[in-house]
Amino acid sequence: MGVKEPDRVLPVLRWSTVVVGAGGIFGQLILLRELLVTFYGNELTVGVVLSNWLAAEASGAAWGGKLKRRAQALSVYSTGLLLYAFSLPLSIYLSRGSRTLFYDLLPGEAAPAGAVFLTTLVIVTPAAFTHGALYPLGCRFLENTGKRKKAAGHIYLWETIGTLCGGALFTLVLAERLLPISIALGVSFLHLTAYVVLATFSYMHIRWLWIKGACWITLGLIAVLLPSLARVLHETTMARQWLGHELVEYKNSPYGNIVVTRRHGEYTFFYDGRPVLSLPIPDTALIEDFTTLAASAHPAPRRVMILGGGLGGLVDGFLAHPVEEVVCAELDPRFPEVVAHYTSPIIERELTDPRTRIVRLDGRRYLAHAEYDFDLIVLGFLEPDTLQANRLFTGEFFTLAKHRLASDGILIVPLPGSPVYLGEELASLNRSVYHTLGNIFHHVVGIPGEYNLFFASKTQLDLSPGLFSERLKERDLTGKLATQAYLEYRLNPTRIEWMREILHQEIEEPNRDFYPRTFFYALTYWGRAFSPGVERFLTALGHIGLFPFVLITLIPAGLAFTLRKKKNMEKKFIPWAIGTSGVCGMAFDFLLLLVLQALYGFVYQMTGIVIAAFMGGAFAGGWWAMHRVDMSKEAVIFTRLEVMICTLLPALGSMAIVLQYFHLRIPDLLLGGILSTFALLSGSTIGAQFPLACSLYFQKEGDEHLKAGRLYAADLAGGWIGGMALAFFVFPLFGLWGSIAFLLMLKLGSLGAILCFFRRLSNTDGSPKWE
Amino acid sequence: MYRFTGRITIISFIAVGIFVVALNVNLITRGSDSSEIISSATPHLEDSELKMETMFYDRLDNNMVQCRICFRNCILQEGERGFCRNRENIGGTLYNIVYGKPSAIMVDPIEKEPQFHFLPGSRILCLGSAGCNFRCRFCHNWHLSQRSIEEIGHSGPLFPEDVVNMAIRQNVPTISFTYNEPTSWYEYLYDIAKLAKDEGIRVIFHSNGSMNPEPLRALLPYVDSVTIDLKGFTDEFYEKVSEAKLEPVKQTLEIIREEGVWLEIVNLVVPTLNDDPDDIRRMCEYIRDSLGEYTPLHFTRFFPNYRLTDLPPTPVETLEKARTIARDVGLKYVYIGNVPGHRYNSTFCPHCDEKLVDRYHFSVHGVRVENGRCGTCGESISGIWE
Repeated sequence: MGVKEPDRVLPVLRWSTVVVGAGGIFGQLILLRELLVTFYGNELTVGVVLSNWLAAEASGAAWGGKLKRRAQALSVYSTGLLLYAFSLPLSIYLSRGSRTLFYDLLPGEAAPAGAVFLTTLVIVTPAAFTHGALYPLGCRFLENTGKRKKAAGHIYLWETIGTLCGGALFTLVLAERLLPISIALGVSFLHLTAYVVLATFSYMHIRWLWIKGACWITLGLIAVLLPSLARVLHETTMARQWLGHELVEYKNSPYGNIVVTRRHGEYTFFYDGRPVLSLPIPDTALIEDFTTLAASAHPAPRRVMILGGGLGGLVDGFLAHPVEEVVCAELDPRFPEVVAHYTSPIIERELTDPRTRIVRLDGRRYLAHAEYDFDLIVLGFLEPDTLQANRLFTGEFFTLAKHRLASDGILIVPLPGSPVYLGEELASLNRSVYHTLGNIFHHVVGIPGEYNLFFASKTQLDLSPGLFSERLKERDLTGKLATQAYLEYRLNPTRIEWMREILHQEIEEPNRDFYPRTFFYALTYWGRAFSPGVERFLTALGHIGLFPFVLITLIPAGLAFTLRKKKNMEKKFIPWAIGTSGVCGMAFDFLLLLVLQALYGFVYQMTGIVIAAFMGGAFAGGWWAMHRVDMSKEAVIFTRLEVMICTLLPALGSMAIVLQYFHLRIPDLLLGGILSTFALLSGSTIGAQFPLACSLYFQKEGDEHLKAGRLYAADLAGGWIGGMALAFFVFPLFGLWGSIAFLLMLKLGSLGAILCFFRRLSNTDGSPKWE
Repeated sequence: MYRFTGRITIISFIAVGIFVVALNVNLITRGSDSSEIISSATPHLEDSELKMETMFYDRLDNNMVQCRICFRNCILQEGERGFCRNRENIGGTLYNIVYGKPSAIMVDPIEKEPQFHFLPGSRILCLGSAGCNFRCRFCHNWHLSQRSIEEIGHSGPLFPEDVVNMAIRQNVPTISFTYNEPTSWYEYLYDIAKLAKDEGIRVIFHSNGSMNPEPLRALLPYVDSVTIDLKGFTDEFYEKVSEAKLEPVKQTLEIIREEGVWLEIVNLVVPTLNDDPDDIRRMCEYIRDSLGEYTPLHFTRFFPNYRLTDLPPTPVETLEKARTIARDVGLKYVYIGNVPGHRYNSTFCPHCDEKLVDRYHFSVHGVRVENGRCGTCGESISGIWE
């Protein structure tokens, strides 16, 4: 079987490797979107998905690398292509059916927190493992063509080109235009084509002409049937995901996923898997109560601005009052387009009333540039358990709102609450917003209810039932809900005092864009319902604080200093340095996306560009380290790269602050450019370290594979642990600056350890590099 | 390249220094923000030793006990707590550990219960505590019901006479045991109800209907009205969604009717889980045959809650269909709840179809029931009106 593959197979291999690269990034991005919907839009899922993808891909690469006989390479490689063609649609199927496949959940029952981890691992494994295996298999295959020396580098280059092109194509062209299943089937088709082309051009595989012909005919048939197959698969998988619902619309926007279902004449609008609106009859009790109290709190509201959840009741409620204009901006500017398709009396009134103005722009951005001030700025019924929603509960947003309020204007913020009892986590959530408002507004009052309502103003607030009743009478709106008895019940001073006392029992830190305390409390509130253990764990970690974790990260530096004179100790710390770089690599990706989401709310849009730029950077860095670094200076360069990572971490924080300052003025294209440049830079720094670490770590000839394996394992373990730790507790607990501080200390610890052995590693005294 | 990386190193260290300073400034600023809030602590009492021996239980061998308050009949070893989290075996004696420790006390409109045939437009003094003997995935008050008293705290000790005095002081005619399952704090409500009866205060409670017959019969003489949640009409639904059973609930309903206490039934219609028209018809037939056609039945709209956060709200059409079924079966007072402004939020005379109680959600706009009769045709209207 020692037959060499013909040269004509090389272009085919190149092309198929580009396909593999593109397929990988497509797979990651599609599953990221799918799982965001499965897990209700919580952006921390991004960290879990990226980490688990990394782990499964690494396992695949390790398995593929074990293939000893080069002669098997083509058949195994092409089988890998076939497998990937099937595994990506399979992963989508698993993701959409996960609630019924993996857990005995009732329809509509949310999955517990632990499920996020396990389910994600199971779902991404088929695609990620296969994709990981294709890289070493491709290398073996290339070696078989006689290009042994540079096989790894070539395959890596082509795959990275595929990744970069795929990331850009997905983000800029495909994501909004095609269904995920169509994109996945497109990827599958390309892999199948690669398989058939390889089979046709290779000696080693299919020789008989009729089989080759059959392969091409089958491929042609698949191509013809692809659109209808995509439709059938989409419908089948959506039926699993939306069991018991009749799905009438499915749409992906740069901000999230919108689904509309119908049951017994009622349309329900789901955003990232959560019901947000029902038509033709929404939650009238909640809406009417809210709009009545909010509009009556102001003596004569002329201009009202609603952010998030305005359409489908709130706008209508405010229009009942003698207002001049109601401006409505949704979290997702595409949402109104979808709602407009489903006419109902409420929507019709809202959209046809000349006083309504629907803003197809991010509300925060709109508010910054609004031409006039508002009498009322109102948040819809949002829950700050995603960073996308949390953007409207931060001190930065409240400050902006304060500047946009007229002198007697009121900001009204509803939060999950209770008219009878506030549990500790619900109280913390409410306190967090209350104290954030209290830092910005002189007067803040909370009214308990199914949703607690917070009224914040620059001037004194009078929330007496009599005054509200008077105002409603003046506006001739005394008819239905807001009777004197009802107002006395809702604005009961004893209840308001009861809530005030709870809000003042403890002082919570203010909620900020990059220190999202309210987001954290919303997560613990959610955890309380679904995973009390996780909630207790998070709360306990919160009490411990950041300092002990920082101390732990410095232990290796202390150890290195103590053991610095011991023989052969220097090599023990290189895997640690690589592992911590793995943590930082994942952190750069993940934190960039979180910064983006905290400021703009469209993580969906930019994920592809950020990940692709990071991977491209990693490739460029690795190439530079292998080809351009003078290996006699490898220890110096390695150490400087460590310093570079330490620099990039605060640079990320600084960039976040600059973006925060200018984010309402920067065009999206420039933003994409800034983020991808940073991702490229951080990726290249991380990528350059690995070859240098390998070179430093190889003690003698013969055991390179073993040592490289160890370093690779350290790198991957770091990435995986980094993603998990950041997603599960570091970021939610300590925010962006806390996370950066933690990572910086971690990296300074590894830098310290390397510096302890710097002389020996750099071999400056002329003695052998490894004693 | 060597020189370049050297410069990077120097710049890096400067940047790290700036970052550390920035971080400190950030932390200091954060601290100063918080200090602007004036703290005023609410009295938060520590758990007292207050506990009351359970009224219905059996002592078993080896210091074990068997609770007889609800259908679960929990057998508890020493130190163990019951399924409801509120009863503990201490040294072979079963105690109610939430006695005198209400966690929520509020004055609400009676329509909130819902009780539509009981002093419409009046106010009720509501008490709730920790714990429940069901595990409903859609529980509206899960913050209270799905936790222990230690987890949620309480505003006690508040003795029965304190509660009754509170109602008298606030001029509230009725005390209601609601928010969580009253069965799980039976002794407390029994003592309050008994005392309230003596003081002329009316007593109602809202329950899942799982109390055992003996304690139920002991309590009912002191109770004026009961709202029972009939959560569904299949064993499967009760087991899957509430970890409970249907049969004890039916038994409770029948006993309440037998004892002549006013009864209203609530059926929360949850899409895909208990909205099957055949089940609804069977439920309505059961109510008609076993409890009487004049028993008010409330079909209420579900909204995503607790663990069922991804389910859509109940379509109003489903509720209307359920009401049509109930009316076809012969029930006289069938309501649609949680849909403010809906026609069947209000009470209509079963004879002349005149609007008797004009409601909009919790607000009552007019009552046309005079001496328990329709103000138009004189038809007797079931309920407690004065």
